[in-house]
Amino acid sequence: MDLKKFLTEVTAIPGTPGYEKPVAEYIAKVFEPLCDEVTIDHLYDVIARKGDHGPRFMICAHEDEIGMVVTDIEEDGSVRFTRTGGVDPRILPAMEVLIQTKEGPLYGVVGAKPPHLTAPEERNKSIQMDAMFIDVGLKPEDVKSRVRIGDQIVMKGKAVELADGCMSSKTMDDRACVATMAECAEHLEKMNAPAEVMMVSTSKEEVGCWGASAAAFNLAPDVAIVVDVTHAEGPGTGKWDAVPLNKPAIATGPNLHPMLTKKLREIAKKYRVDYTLEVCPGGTTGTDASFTNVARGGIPTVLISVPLKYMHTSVEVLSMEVIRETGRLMAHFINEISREWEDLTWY
Amino acid sequence: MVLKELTSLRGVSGNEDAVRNYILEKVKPLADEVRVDRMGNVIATKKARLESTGKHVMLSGHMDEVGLIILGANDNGLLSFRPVGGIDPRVVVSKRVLVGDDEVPGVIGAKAIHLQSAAERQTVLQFDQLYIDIGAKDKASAERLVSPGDYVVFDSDWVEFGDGMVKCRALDDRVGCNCMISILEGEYPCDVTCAFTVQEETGCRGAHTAAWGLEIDCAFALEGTTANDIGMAKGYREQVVRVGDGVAVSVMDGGSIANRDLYRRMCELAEEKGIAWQSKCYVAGATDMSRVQRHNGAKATCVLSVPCRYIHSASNVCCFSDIDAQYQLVEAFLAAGGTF
Repeated sequence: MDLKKFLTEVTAIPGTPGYEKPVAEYIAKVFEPLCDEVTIDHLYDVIARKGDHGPRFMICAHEDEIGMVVTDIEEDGSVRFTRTGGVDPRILPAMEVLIQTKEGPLYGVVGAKPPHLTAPEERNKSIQMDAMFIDVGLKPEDVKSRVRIGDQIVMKGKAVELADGCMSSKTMDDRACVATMAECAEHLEKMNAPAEVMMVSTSKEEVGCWGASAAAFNLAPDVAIVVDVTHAEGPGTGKWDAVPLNKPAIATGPNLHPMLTKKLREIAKKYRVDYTLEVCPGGTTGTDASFTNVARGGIPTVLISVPLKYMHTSVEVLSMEVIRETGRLMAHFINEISREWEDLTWY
Repeated sequence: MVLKELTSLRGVSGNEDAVRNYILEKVKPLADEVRVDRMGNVIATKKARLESTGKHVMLSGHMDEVGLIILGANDNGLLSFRPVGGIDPRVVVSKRVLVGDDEVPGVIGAKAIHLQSAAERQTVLQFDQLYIDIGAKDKASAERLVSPGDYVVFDSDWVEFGDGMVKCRALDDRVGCNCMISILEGEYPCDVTCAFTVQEETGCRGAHTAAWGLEIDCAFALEGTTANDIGMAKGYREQVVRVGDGVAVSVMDGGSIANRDLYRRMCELAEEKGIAWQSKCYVAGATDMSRVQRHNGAKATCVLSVPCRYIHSASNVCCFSDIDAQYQLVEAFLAAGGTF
């Protein structure tokens, strides 16, 4: 797969929770040549099936993104907004955005009071979201006719290639992990694994993993593999807050199945996939895994993470090699586990 | 109009070469005498082509823009930097940048919101807590691509939007450079000297020398100035000037006081010619006129500005009609022989 092309294109498509249809349609097209059957469900989850016999594996990577929503239009045409999902207000001043209006995307710039008009004590505080606005450069009456309260807003970014195999864009969280599934599909093709693999680009993760919950119920998989981003080491991250950027992380903790996680680590070692072990102490992990492992009567779940710097900003940074390695690891895992299926001891 | 090309060029204060070279190429065929002074200002003089009033008018616009400069690479490959010119650290977070003359792409990230304490969310990340990330895995890798002292510009494209608006970096003050290039294309009954100055954003350093040796009767700064007319700001104190209301004629600013006769002449001329104009009464900031007005003896000066929202950030926003109004007013003054 042309990873750079995919990431550049897919991260540019708006897809806030509930509004994932355009990104779902794009992803479906990408998976069609790689899989046997691709469907989109009513939540806009994209379900790409590869293989038709053996144990059923579900891989989840979410397709939705954080964003904002229009809350008011002022008399002077400035557009007030709030966030849907964990947008850091500190990244917003001078940010370019696209308001998803009924007539299509409308360009705007996030404004705030300029520094020379703010008191010195104000300058030491971050600007609060209610003191910001979006400037769409139109007369107030035109703003009112085009923009509606409730219109979704996404950050406008540009994917750029950085040094040492890194790439930066908005919405790498979690479209980059959708890419790991496509990489996995390519490896599976060569392995001829005796498994039925459902690669699900899940919707509505940022508001509570609703797409994964529904897909886990509908598809009734035997095993779930969740791929999400985790914090990579960067400015200000504490020693135990973040993992190295340059290798995938395998998560361990109560949310993940102990035997499968152990197997995943062994398979990584066997196939020389360098990884970091990420300790997740909670009963949930803030990912789709929180929901897949308690879906139906319980679905044994493993979690693989792609380290990401500056999560939830418009300049998220990752290593492209990690995406490839994560895809390769998942394919080996599915292949080995499906061949040993009858002999596995779950507890 | 060459504004779009001008805004595509790198020109952080002290590193104006690309802008200067472009301007030299543009103005050499238009002016009678073009020189680069020891500071790096481009001084282009065009003599009167029509029956002369004997006046000599100086125009000044700055080539430089605010930006960043690299201090060096850290062991983890991240680059430490400082601002060049007045940049609020709050506007650089989560922005793309281009480092050095090779335009190595980088981003300025920040610790993810998930990892921030409640107190951290309220505080401003200062420049010593921010880094440029070019993807380099370590110091050695970073040093293969960038060096201390490399200048950094925001990676911000030209976007036309709304009702005749444009967003780009460096509109402050490529609008002034663009205006002067257009002016040099015309013919006037007076002499005109256009000074494309360096280092305005770091204290009007270029303007110290730009007027040296020129016998001028009056001078204008052609600038971009703060507009804060949206977001329910009220009155001139908060709004300063309004985008779309025309060229802003300054009564005074933090560095110069307009010559009263020249100020009145410009206001009356705008009225007479039907050119959209507004008065800028808010006293703050300074322009090259702070140096020209008194550095080479007393000079009559006035500042004519294009209102600019989100000035000194990656996303300057200006209105084409204001850019045109600035040109129209300067052109009308010169066409009338530069008298006041």
